Amino acid sequence: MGQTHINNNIRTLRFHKGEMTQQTLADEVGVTRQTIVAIEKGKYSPTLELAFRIAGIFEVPLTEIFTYNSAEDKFKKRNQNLR
Amino acid sequence: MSIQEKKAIFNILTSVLIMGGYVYYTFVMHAAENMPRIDDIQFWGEFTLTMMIVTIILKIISLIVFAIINAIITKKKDEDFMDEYDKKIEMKSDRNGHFFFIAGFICSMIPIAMGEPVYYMFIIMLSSGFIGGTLGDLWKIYYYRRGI
Repeated sequence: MGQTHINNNIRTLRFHKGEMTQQTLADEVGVTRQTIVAIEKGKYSPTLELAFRIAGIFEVPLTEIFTYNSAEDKFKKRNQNLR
Repeated sequence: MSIQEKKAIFNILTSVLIMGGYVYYTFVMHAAENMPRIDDIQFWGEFTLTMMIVTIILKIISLIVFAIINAIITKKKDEDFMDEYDKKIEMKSDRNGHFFFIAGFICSMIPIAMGEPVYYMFIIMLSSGFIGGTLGDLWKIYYYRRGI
């Protein structure tokens, strides 16, 4: 809980988009400002749908906004015998 | 503080007031008529059903009052809007609250199995429902602060 393993540069992209406000971005992608704040702070990983909507607003590929930090993600691999 | 956090705090306060008021009304103001019936299952049936109806009505009224006051103070419309983040937090916090209630429900069977009076079961069951609901709201505030 808390910090996710997905980093993002939404803050920078907002700045390059004429210092777009969090509220404007939230309105454009159909969420609340609080959700944008949580995503920017890395407290929440958005759904793919919302991530694509954000990418659409900034007109950049998804991978330019969100990056996955695999080194910090301590997920457990499933036992291969189960396959 | 976000509207959802304010709503959760308001919900805790109203729950405490409603539950506290109803318990005070039943067991303090009308103690003479209700206390002798405390072992009667019919009394607990009446108590629970009346409490549910009273709680639903007062909760609806309090939410309307909250919405009006909030609209006057913030002058914002569409404050009740919930997006995926809000829904996920609501689901997680409700799940945690329900876990507590289920644990309380199972515990409430213990005094019955041990041959204790029936009011133990109802007190544990109703208390766990109340505490579970309150914990759900507290978890909601926690998730909004810490993230999910």
